[in-house]
Amino acid sequence: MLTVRGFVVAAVALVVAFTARTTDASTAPPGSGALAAAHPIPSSIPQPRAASPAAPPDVVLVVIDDMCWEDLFHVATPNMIGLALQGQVCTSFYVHPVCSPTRIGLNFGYYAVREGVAGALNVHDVDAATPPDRLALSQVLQVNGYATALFGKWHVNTVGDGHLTESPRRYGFEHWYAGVDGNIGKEGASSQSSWRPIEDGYDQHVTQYSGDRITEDFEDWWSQPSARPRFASVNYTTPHEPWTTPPSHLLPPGYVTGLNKRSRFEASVAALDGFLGRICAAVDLSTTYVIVLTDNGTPHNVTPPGPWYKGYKLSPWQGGVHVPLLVAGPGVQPGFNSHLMHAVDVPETILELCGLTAPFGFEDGESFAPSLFGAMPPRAPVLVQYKRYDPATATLLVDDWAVINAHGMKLVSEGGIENVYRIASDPFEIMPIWMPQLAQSLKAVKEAVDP
Amino acid sequence: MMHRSLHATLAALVALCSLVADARAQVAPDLVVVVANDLGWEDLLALDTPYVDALAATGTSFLEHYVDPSGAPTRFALNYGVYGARERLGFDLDPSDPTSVGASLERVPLPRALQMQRYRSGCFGVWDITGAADARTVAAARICGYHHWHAGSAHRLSAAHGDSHSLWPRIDDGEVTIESTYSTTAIVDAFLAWWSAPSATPRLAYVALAGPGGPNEAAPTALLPAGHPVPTNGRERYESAVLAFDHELGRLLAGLDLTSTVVVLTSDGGPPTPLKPPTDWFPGYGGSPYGGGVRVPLIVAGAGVSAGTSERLTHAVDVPATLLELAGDAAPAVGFEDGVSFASDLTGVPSARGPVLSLSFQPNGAPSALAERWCAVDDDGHALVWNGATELLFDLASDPLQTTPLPVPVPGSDPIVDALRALKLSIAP
Repeated sequence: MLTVRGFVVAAVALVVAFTARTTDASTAPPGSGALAAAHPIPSSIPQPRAASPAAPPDVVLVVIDDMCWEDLFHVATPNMIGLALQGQVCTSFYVHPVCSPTRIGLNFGYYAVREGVAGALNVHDVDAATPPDRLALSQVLQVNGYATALFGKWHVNTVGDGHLTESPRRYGFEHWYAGVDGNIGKEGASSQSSWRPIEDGYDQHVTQYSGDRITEDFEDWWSQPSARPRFASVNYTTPHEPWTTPPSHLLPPGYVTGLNKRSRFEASVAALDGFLGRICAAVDLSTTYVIVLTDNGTPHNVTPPGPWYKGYKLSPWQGGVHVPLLVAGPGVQPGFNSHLMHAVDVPETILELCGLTAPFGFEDGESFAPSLFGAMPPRAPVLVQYKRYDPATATLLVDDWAVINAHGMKLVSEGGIENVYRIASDPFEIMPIWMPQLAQSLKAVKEAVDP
Repeated sequence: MMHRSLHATLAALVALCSLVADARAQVAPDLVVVVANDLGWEDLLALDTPYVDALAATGTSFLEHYVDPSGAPTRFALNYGVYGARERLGFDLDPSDPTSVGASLERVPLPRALQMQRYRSGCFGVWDITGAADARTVAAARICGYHHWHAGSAHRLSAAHGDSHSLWPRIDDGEVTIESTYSTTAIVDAFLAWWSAPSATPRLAYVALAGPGGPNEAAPTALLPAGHPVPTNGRERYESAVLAFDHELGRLLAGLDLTSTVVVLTSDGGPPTPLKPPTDWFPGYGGSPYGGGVRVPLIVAGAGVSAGTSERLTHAVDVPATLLELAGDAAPAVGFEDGVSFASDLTGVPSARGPVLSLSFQPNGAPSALAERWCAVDDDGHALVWNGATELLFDLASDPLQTTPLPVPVPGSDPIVDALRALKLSIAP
């Protein structure tokens, strides 16, 4: 069903995918254009003030689980669009095509493969995954006076690292609410409405929809008065499987969820947009930076109808690694931002927004904070990667990766076959380009991290 | 005899090391904090403790060091540089109570602040700072910033809880096993195993031994001088545990390079009152706000630390500020606000300090505390003591053993006593 509204959304997203890629944030007209015309700003989104706050800002990082740009063409997300209108839409943001490495990057600013993680962690693995002396964003913030709390999913540690119900609190999060150590479970065997959220070390069974619980715990924490600036990392477990139909009160009025997996996935996105609206209603954008992003692309078994991309989650193609990133908050001029970014850049960006620097660590990240306020020099190429091993023999089965540079040139290695694509003109990676010297230089980026 | 010669050797070795210490003082030193459970100056004077003596001979002994009358707030102070009362922590945590509330986790602990100076950290032994309601006890010390926690116990070993020094549940980075090695030995072994691995960055180790307090048991014969008589009563068993503590301290010190390491040896409180020393100098011991309970050993030795004694007033809250200064962070961004660094005193430059407060109360977490015991002391030796029933004033300069209370001036009539009372009220109204 292609409504007028859906057409407008699609047109706007095409702008995001194509035109904006070559458009600088500084040249984008703030708060104008098709987006603004088509979508009045929901009342839940406050207008940002122009002046920078004198006090350290609050920060809310929202991490969506498994969603790419393309999904936004199929589901109405008025709150996400409303937030986008208040801030910047970052059109060249890359992540690993799988959860754990991206989340390690978001928290620690290094390519997880450096510590041997390039796939989804089995949290019950007795092998350690993330060293305890790795410096985390949450720790640097806490030591510098921030109140810190994580909500929802972590998926950064195994039992080999320590007790699973306390993992994030070992890295400087003072609280972990509505916690999930890895995934809620598999489609058909578990439910987003029957799970065991961890509340500061202890878990208990609930029947509340996961995203509702995560949002509610955030709202509770955020509404308490705090003498300190705050950092909340809000990590949803949806639209990742299990694709449980969200309760109707969490969906737009009259929303009908279909029976198949993709329909339930899309309903999960619609519910998620409602949660984002609640977060935006709780925060003050004149003093709070809100960063919304996705950990990787659409699951390969619930891809959009008529899929655009060669591959989705677990693949190095754009449907797996090129995902939405929105940033709004004090001083951020609305518009598009085409600066090359990666999940590993998020920690140092947040630190810079808070006026802080890391004493060490975060070695693969580069703050993109300046790009939110004006032009900045292009970023060095970024690496995205996925590996899978045979659990029985530890044989490497999959070793796919890609390196993308600031000019939108991308070297993809899938199944050992390497090709260069020009994403700016070929976003669906249809036509490889014969550029052996560029391929060599991009491959060197990968080799330097993971020889 | 054997101990005496070892003592002399060790002392010579340590003295030699400290000669070259100045040259290394610019480099961030390794830091080792050793905390004895229930040990007073009087116990050390009553017994032959060659390794403590050797450390004291080469380092600085702080003779006016105070802790809280209960272990948990003292341990909190050693890790957070903040009086436990600010977080409503006033008493040891009950290991069998799943609702026990200890320190807030919304504070910056020492190992986390030190990591900003690239320090790696390990905790060994007793925690007793956070309660079961605050966090999973198997994860407690690591949540508070220590990268590893080995030979750990969430609380002080307790006979009432079924613990013995020779049969106790030990925690290693979240794994629990039942340990039959004598607690002090197991904790020192765990420390040495971690410490002996090479490290490219400086380290902090917090080694909180379970003895000589805890279950009142005779120490293993192997840790005692040859021919040491079999203990026949509680005090003798306690004394055997002091000797075992000293023996294992010697093993710990032998694993350190004191040219690049600063060692802090202290105690969480005086000896248990039922096991008080026969000399019985003080009106009260462990748990009491008198000198026998709150005025305990603090000896600092190693890299750059001069030998001698210091009469600088110190409290457990001062230890983190001092270690941070030694590590190069004299002014951490937040936290540690009750501590005043005594780093300069380690090089013989006396520093000043306002009055300190030793305070215990029950229960933890309650908005208004019951069963308060406290002692506020200033650097002239005026000590205002609340023993639970009466306010007492002592002049420690002339009456260090607190035999003769002075008349307590009514509020508003004596600025010195008013200042002590104001300190207490500012921390625990």
